[in-house]
Amino acid sequence: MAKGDKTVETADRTSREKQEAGALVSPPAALADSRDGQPGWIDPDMDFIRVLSRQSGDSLKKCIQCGTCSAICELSPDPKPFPRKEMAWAVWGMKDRLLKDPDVWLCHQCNDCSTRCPRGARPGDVLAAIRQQSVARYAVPRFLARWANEPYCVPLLLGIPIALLTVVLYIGNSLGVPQPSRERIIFPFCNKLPHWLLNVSFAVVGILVLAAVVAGAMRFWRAMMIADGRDGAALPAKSPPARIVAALKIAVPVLWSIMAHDSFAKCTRTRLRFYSHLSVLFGFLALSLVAVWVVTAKVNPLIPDGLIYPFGFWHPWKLLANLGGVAILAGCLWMVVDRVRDNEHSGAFSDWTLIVTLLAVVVTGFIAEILHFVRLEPHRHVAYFTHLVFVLTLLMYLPYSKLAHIVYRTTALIYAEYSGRNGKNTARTAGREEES
Amino acid sequence: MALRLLTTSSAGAPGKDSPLAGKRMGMVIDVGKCQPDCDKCIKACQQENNVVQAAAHKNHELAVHWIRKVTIRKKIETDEKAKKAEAAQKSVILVCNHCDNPPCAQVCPVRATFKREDGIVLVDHHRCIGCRYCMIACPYNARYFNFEDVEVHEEDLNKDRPKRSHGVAESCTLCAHRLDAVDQDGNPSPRVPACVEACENGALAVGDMNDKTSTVYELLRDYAVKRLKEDLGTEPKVHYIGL
Amino acid sequence: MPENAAHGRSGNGRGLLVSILVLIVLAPLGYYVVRGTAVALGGKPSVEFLERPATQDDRCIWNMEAGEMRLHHWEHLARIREDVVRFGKRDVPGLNECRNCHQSRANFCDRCHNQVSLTPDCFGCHYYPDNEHWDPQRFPER
Repeated sequence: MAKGDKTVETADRTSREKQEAGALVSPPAALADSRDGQPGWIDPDMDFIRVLSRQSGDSLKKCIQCGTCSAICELSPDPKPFPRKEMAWAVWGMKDRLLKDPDVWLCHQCNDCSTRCPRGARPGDVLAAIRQQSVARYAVPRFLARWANEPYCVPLLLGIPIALLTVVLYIGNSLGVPQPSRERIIFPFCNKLPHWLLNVSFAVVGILVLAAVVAGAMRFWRAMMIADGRDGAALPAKSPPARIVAALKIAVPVLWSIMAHDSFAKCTRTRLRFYSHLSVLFGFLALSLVAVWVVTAKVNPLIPDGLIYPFGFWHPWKLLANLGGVAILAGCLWMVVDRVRDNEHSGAFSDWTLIVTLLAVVVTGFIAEILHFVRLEPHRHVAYFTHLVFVLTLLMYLPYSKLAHIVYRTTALIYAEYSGRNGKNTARTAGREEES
Repeated sequence: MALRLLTTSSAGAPGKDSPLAGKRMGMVIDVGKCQPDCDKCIKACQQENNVVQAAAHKNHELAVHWIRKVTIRKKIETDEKAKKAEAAQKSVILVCNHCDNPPCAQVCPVRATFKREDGIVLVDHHRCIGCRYCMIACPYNARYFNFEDVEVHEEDLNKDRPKRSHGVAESCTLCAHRLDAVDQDGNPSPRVPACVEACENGALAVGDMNDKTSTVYELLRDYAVKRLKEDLGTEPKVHYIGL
Repeated sequence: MPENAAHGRSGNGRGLLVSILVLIVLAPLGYYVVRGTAVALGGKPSVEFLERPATQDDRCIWNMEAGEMRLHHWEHLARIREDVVRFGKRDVPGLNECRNCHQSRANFCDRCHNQVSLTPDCFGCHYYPDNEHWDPQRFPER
């Protein structure tokens, strides 16, 4: 029996005794699902059950709570194993508790549990559906998260970046940028869209996305803290530099563990995902770094002469960007092959939209680069515009799509490290007493 | 330099202040003054326009001559009239005639060859695609094609004029760059073409036929002139005195 | 969690692989940091970027900023060409006048063109010497 379950039973008994004694007692915040504050009642969210069931293959109710999944899961920490309790909560529709549970994000969907489940209840897919609902809950603003998860919203979702970029192009044209004459053969794209306008637009979107992401992460963190009964600041009673050091001491090993793909390496069922995800992650990091460098070049103290753009082929940044693109392409194709081959776990709508968008970004990017080198007018401008549309799509919907796992899984892993879910007493050393 | 500064929106079309407005450039060649053995005009043209080595090409079908001199003589009936026939030789300078109805400009598929506002027929080498249709169309064989990259020796190179590369057609430009020349302050200071400058006998004259004070106007007024192949209707603007 | 043994790949091998990948991603940044520090410490960059005559300020005789020239010079050259060839307007300086100040293609045109992998075919026809050529009157310190 896991320790967590005992806590609930003890609290129930204590509250009931107290109630019999006539005292008015409010349940701990973890039992927010109770009806009218009465302990022991469950108020299932029927819509939530339906959504989860639909998105995880309609086998949710088959779970018999045997615990095989928790036993087989390599990522499940011994003090608070998962996903058995999550399956129970899902069947009972305890939406609030599930969405505040960091264990949902400790899961990396290696599918060991789904393979071994004797009833075929697919706990891995159930957890994936819960994660998607979690993103929808914490995303800011919420309506975008709703749209991002509905297949019929795809034209609308694509239409917004296209509309935005068209508006920016129109602004670029109407600012008096010199127009090419009919007699001339070649004009560069920066005649239609000046570099500074492009960079400023993407920087603005990037800042908004960053704000949305930080807001979502903070809401998630606070929710997890409250669910565990921790109120107040995470690292109180310390001077700011010491707080930063303490935070870094917790966060940095977690980040390194993420980069090193420790969790992926523990998987047995889909072992090759280690390679594909490693490839995609580092490709994405490389391309993001290059993009940030270019967008912020004007204010970068390391480039006193100003950025020479475009990069030549052998420029270090260009080489890195091309390597990153190849890495993402290889990794994504591997993922596609893996998912297509696996009939049972090929993935849901949100999985495929992310893979397809990433592939579209990389493929259009390479096409634009090749057409640019052979100077094929005006096709290279069309290719570049398409590339910009997909990049903006990926960036704009980062906080609302599956790509949000960058934020939420990292937050959950750091929280797990901080709160000692894996058995380490990090929270105590950080200055908080752990409630038993 | 107090030249006209570039702005981002400069007009592309000729306007009232165009330097070519109202001009009609023509050439008058006095065959009688042309010495048979003299080729100073040819050498000057080659030097000016970087065609020295191209004109001296071993294969005469690949050679480029912006200006040629041909000798015409009456048909010799008997040997006794040989001396008379010799005296009846004439040296005729042949250049592009800068027609008012230029067949080369009519047939050019990309409008690389065109007639300018002042009547000079020019080739825009950036646009020429090398189809050589203009060479076929010209009735005076005045168009030449660069079958190879133009090679110019260092000592013959005119650094202020581009040399052409493989694949473009060209012909005499009536030294338009000299006619259009401006001085430091942007005022027009035209120079005569290289051939006209080099001729010591005064056989060549180039100028604005609409300008009543120009040499060509006076020559056309005072002398009877002939043009080549006038029956074709090309309206050439190179006139020959004494042909 | 880090202390658990990972099956499939040995922990050390994986750590090495990831360390190498992180270094590759950060390599260009490191290159710029090193270069920026070297310049900031007072040394001139090893290659002076664009040769400019000692007497001229940053604006070209075309009366434009250097950044505008870099981004649009080919368009302006093309428009000048149209004016010259089709309309006979020669009162604006062209490529030949660039040569008066920027006397060597190797130190001027080719610098940027090489860096962005461009080979424009202007110089097949238009004369622009690519040797190192410095007019001692305009560049006394060379």
